[in-house]
Formats: sequence, C-alpha cells, structure tokens
Amino acid sequence: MYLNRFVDGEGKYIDDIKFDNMLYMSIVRSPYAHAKIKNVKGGLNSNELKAYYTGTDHAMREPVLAIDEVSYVGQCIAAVFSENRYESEDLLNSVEVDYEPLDAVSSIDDALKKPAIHKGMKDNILDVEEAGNKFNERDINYDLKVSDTIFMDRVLANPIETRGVVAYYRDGVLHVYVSSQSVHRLKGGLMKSLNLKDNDIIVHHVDTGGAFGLKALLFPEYVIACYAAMKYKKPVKWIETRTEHLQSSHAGRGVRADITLYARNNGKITGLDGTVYLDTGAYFADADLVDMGNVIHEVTGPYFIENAHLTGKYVLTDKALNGYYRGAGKPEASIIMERMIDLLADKLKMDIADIRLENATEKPFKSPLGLDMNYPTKPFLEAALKYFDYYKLSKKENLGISLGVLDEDTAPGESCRIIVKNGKVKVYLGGDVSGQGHELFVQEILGNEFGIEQSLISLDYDDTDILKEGTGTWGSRSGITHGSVLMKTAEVIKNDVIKKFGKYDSDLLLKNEFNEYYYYKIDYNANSVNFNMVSSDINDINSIKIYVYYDLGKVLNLKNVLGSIHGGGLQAIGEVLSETLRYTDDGQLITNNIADAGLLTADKIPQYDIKIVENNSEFPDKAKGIGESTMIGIPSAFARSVELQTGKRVSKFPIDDISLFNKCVE
Amino acid sequence: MYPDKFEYFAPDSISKLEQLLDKYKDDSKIMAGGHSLIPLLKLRLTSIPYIIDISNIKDLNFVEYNDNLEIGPMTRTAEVASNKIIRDKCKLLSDAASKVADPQVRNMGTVGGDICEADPRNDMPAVMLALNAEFEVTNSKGSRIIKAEDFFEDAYTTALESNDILTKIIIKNTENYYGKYYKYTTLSSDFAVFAIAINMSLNGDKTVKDIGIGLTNLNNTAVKAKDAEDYLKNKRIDDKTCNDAFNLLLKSCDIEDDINGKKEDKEKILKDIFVNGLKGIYKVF
Repeated sequence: MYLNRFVDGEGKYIDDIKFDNMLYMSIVRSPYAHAKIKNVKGGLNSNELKAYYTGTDHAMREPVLAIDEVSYVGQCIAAVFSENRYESEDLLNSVEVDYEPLDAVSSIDDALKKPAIHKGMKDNILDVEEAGNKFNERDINYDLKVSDTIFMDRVLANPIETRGVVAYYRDGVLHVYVSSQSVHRLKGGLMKSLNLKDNDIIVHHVDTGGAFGLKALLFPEYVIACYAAMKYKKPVKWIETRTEHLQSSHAGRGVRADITLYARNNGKITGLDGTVYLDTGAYFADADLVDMGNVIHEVTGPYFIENAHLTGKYVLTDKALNGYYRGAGKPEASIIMERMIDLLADKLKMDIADIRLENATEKPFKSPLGLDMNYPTKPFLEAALKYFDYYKLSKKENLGISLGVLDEDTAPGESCRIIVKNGKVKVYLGGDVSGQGHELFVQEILGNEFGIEQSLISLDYDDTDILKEGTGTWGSRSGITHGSVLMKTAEVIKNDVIKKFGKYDSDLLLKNEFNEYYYYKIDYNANSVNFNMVSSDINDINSIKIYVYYDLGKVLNLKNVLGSIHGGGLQAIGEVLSETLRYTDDGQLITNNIADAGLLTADKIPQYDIKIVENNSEFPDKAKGIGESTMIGIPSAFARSVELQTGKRVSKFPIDDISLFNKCVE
Repeated sequence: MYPDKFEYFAPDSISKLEQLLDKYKDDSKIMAGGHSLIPLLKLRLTSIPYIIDISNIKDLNFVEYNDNLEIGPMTRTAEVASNKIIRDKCKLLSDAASKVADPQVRNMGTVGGDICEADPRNDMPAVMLALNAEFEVTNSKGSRIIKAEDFFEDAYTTALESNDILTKIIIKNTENYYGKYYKYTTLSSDFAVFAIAINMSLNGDKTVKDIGIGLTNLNNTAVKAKDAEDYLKNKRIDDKTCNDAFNLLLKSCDIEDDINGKKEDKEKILKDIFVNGLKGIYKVF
C-alpha cells in the first residue's frame, strides 16, 4: 500500500532533500533569557540582515536575527554555514557575542508584577482585547457566583520530525522545500520578509513528519536560510535539533483565565466574565491573535449564556514565542468552561450532566462572545448521555464529562489540482498533509467518484507553482475543505470526459489526459458538537477509558478518523498529566531533552469506546471536522475523573502530581 | 548527532587500553556501551579528544561463579538481566538490570558503564552498594580492590583515577540472600525518580542476619543507607522496625523539591515503597 513507503524508509522528508554543494546552516542562539547584545562579531548577523517574519507589522515583532537585545533563550543571533554539518556546528564557536545579562520574567504571573521587558513599554501587556458586552452584576439575574483561575501551561508540538528547510536559488527563482502545513502561507510570509515578488519564489511541500499547528507558521530560520541561499548562490539546509526545538519553536497554550460564573439555583448560568491572559513569549507572533481570539470568542461553547464578557490580555515573557498547538485556543476555551461548570455543579450539588443539560440549547444560537453555533446542543447531549447510559455508568466509574463545540476553520476554502495521465491519477491539495494520512481519504473519495482502483490514485507533493492558491491543513478543516474541493475537481474532470466523449466511464478517464485546477470557496467557519467522557483509576495509567460521541457528518475514511481519535486521546492525556515546558524563574529552560518534556508513549494509549454519529454537513462531501475534538473535549473530562478520586480540584494543567498514575516498576 | 571532533580507538586488550590511557590521560575517556557518553557528546555538553571504546576487549566481558560472583564490566545490561548464573546467585542484580531504561538501552548499555558513569539516577550504583560489591581496578602499575561504599564520591565522580580501568565486579553476598530493586519512575521517563535496592538474608529465628540497602537518586550520588542497615540487623521485619528503619533511611537522603515533585510527596511515596519492599522480601524466606 502506498503509505507503506513511510514504513519502508522511502518517505522524502526535508532532511532527505540533498543538492550538490549544499551548505548546512547552524544558528548561534542566546543562552540568556534577557540580555543586551553589546557586540556581535562573525557569522551572518543583524548588522547585515535586518528582517522580520510576521504577517502583521506589529511594533513588538521579532527580528529574524536579534538586534541589540535578546529576549529568550534560543533566540537567533547569527548563522554560520559549511558544506559539512559537523563543521557548521563547530563554526558556532567562531562567533563572538558580548552580552550584558538583564533581569528576565518567565511566567504570566511574574510578568504582571515586574517591569517591562522591552524598552518603550510601560508594562508587559502587549495588547488588550475585549469580547462580548460588559455587564454589571447588579443588572443580571443570579443566585450565586463561582470564581476560579484555570491555568494551562505551555505545550510544544514536539513532532517526530522537527522543523527544517532547504532553500535553493536557481535560474532566478528561489525554491524553498519545507516541512509544512501550508506552502502557500509560507510563500506569502517569505515574500513579505525578503521583499520578493510572486514570480521570485516557489515553495515546495515534502513529506512532513507531524506538525500539530507548529508547521503552519513561518520562522526566523527559514528567512535566514532563504537569504543565505540567494547570497551564496548555493542550496542551504537547516534542520532543527531537538534541543533547538525545545528552546525556540513556538509553543502553544500558556493561558491563565480568571473567570466568574453567575447562576441561578437551578444551575442555569446567566453571566460569565473574567480576564484571559495569554503568554505571548518575548515578542508578538501572528498566532497570538488566533489563539486569543479562539479562547475569548468560544469560551461559552455549547451553552447559551445571556451575559458574557471577557478581557483578553497578551502578556510578554522572556520565553520563546507563542504558536499554534492542536486546537489553538479552542481546547483552552472548552477547558475553561467545562472546569467552571463542574465547579458550579459541585457548589450546587448538581449532577455534572444535569447542569450541562440545563445550559445546553434547543436551537442554534449566537453567543454574546460571537460564536455562531449552527446546531442545537441539548438534543445532542441527551442522545450521547443515553447512548452511554451515563446515569448508570457514573455510579460505577469515576466519570468526567464534557460537551464541546468544534469550530472548524473552513474559510476561505481550499484548492486542488487533479492530473490524469498514463492511467494514473495524481492529486495536489493546497492544504498540506503533515502525517495525518490524508492520502487515505483522497483515495477513497476519488476511487468512488471516478469508479477506479484506489491504487491508481496518489496524493502528490504540491508547490506554489502547480497550485497558484492554497490554504492549509489546520483547524479541523481538512475533511470538509479538502474532501469537498476533491469532489468538485473530480466533477470538473468527469464533465471534461463527458464533453469529449459524450459519456463518462473510467476507461475513458484513464486512457486519456486531463488536468484541472479548482478552488472551492467557503466564506464562513462551520462547526459541530461533540461529547466526551473519561473514566480512570489514578493508580493505573492503563485504566484510562475514553468515551467519545462525535458527530462527524459523513465519515470519509474510518482509519483516518480512528487514527485521529486514538492519537489525540493520548496527546490530551499527556497534556493533563505531564506534558509541558518548564522554565526557571529567570527564564532558563529546564526541559532540555525530550524525555523531560512529558510526552506519553504508545504503551499508554487509553482504551476507547467510540460512537460516531453521521449527521451530514452542508458541504459537498457532507463531512464535519475531527482533528481538534479530542484536545477540546478530553482534558476537562479527564481532570474531573481525577479530582473525583483525589478530592482535590484540578484547575492547573498539567496536574503535575507525582503520585498520580506513576508507579513502582514491578 | 554533531559532537566536537574526537579521535576514536578500539583496543582489543587490557594492556593496549592501559597504554592509551597512560598516553592521553585526562584527555581520554573510556566508552563502554556509550549510552550516557554519546548523548553528552552529541549535545556538546562535553568534548573529549580521545574516545576509547572497550567493547572489543573480550577479557572484560564475562560472568563467572567461583565462591564469589564475578562479572566483567563490559557485560551488557540485557545479559546481566537474563544470565542464568546471575539469576541463580543474585536476584537483586538481575531484577535491577531488567528495570534499567528500555530494551534498546539494555542491549547496548553495560553494567560497568552504569557504575563508572555514576550518574545519580543510574541504577547499578545503588545495587552495588546494597550488595556490598567490590571492584577490581587496574592500571599499568597493577590492580587493587575498591569497595563499592568507597567508590561513589559525588555526582559523576568516583574513586577512579584517569588511567584506571574497572576490570571486575565481585559480589560475595550471594548464598541465602534475596533482594529486589524498587524503582519509581514518572509516566514519561525511564530514569528513576528514586529507587531502593534491598538485599537480605535471615537467621534461623527469622531475624535479619544481613541486609544491604542502596538508594538511587536520593542524594548527590548513590548512597548506602547504613544506619537503617545496622538498625535492622538481628531484628524481625514488622511495622515498628520498618517505620524506625525508614526514619533512619531518611538520614541518608537529601530530598529536594524538583520537577518530579515536592519533597513531602516524594517522602510519602518513598516510605510506602520501602516498607512494602522490606515486607515483600521478608515474606519470600
């Protein structure tokens, strides 16, 4: 089977790309969390290359190479190059940097108390944003209120394949090969950074070994490698080491929320307000806006709460920048709401399902925070509770639940090209697969559409030349956007066959040549409802059982779906128990190897009870999203299961309790 | 991996190894299985101009029993875990070896490397302390014996001089002993948060005849819980003696808050493991 190429060692990952006379790039990075650079001598540094890489021209954006100051451990200061990778690492010692260390802050709490880390700022608040309508508690109808602080520490993507790029300037065009979720987004970013024109650059997708949101982004190292490739007229390769990944890759979560719920004695929530703080790291990053936006607009999730207002504060710390991590704000929103509603249920001595039923809706609604919920949530919750016989099961097991909204980033749509030649069908998608196995649904959809053997169909490496436009793979969109554009493009090709031969059959298709490009536009974000339950015994990591009741619309490929749930479940469990990045108070990274990063291995994959409901969506392929559902729904339900056993409320992630699930090796 | 440049030697005899060590002294380092050394080189946390791989020296790879159990330092951890002689004569050692890291590390890592690296989180030092092992140490001037309790001086620091080679591990406390290695790990790492090695023998009246207790990652280096050992001799294992012994054992520890958890949480778990361990071993006799 064609995905076996990965198992057979025949994948073409970024480090497999080799050109003659290729230079390896190594980066001199700051060992300080905060320091003035008095002088830098040697390597390619900001005396020569002054460039930025964010899409938004924010005053506090990060230069690709530090200018006069470093603000986190791992920040790029200079680049060195050699045809031998070992020598390029040796060359790091040839760069002289004169530092004057400064005080650093390494947490949101610290940053709120301490002086500004950047000159020209009065404090460490980078920006403030509001969502919803401010209300006065005197004006709303409530019997009680509950408040708490929910904190989710940083989590890093840590894909098996770290970041990497090869830049090759040939015949007047900069060719960039990159491990990525979106070659089109990277092209746009690089054009802006290096002041290139549309025809100056082609970005190529290669096999990508995991991304989790991280590889949707442009990074300083990519800009530096591209600049060097044009300067030296030689191919330049940069492959991130795991140490660099832990230090410098943009991490997700890092959210603190101080929330108050106002409610009636029957459990009906009438108001929500509070402040959400996002740890942006040392500079502004494009991901900040998305992450914060998703949190503050989606907190109320599947519940209609009449009065809701949140203040979002972007907080600077001396740490690597904030990035996307599976869900990018959506899990944070759900974790905040679900943890708060459990707290309210405890205060009212209500069942955690009953209180959710009280606040779920009979109709679609628009929340005061701006979320357009397309489906009623109460009938869905009732069906899920009934399916799992919740009220009976909750008496036997330590059961946590959560009801979540999956807001799918379907806008602005996606591009596709299908080329039929020599009896084979080659497919190029604007959203780049990064290890999820999109190849499977591509084969399944086109096999059905064309009425041909799946083995004749392959998803090929796209680039920004073969597809002039394209979006990306993120936000639980691929099933909807990629699936739909595939069907639309297939329709065009079938019409081509009919136009040419008066009828369609698969022989006519395969014996001739066709080549069609299609962009399927979607101008809004779709969404769906999902339900999760988790039970566990805190003495046994293999006791964890996850129940999911997901509405996936039409399932495009069951293996894709199950893979997403199985992997995502483990990822969610890890995020609750152990996975994070730890820093000292002065911003030094303690998590300096992957064994300390708290990732869980496959032997800890939980047990699953999976119920998939197929209520078709409005899109051509009738699919709904899946990618982020586990991260949205499992953490709070699992936290509930744990707190039922320990008696200690869980409001901090990871929980970080040495006695939970660990054991003496027998 | 992108370490600094180094020169690599793989001598096939102890005498050639001695010559190399005499020549390069502090600039050289012996590599056994390499599973601690290679990561350090790879991350450029250390730079060593001359690496001497001893895996070709057959005289360092053996397991024998002649009144004492004698083990060559190049014996791979996986072999220590599965070797029949060791399993028959020293339950504690085969049990502990089976709990070192993962199969890949056990297949390459060696008992001697584990001991000489003296990482406070390594498993074998505490086991050697519990077993009252002795180490035959050789250099070009001759051989001498160093007791395990005199060997581990600090984190990554042993009594070995730069030209010394660990040539033999000698374990005398084998007949009528039973022991186990209790290792507490986190979900995501195979390194011990802490571990306790216990080796015990009983008198005819069910009192403790001899006991060795070694502690992993509870101090700067592996330590022997001597006060607890002395206290338990000639006593029965019961709730009171376990409790008293644990309080004495804490004297040998220097437990701090760290990324694994708070001191008080760790002490609570440590106590459970120690008490259950003592009782578990006692029950076997």
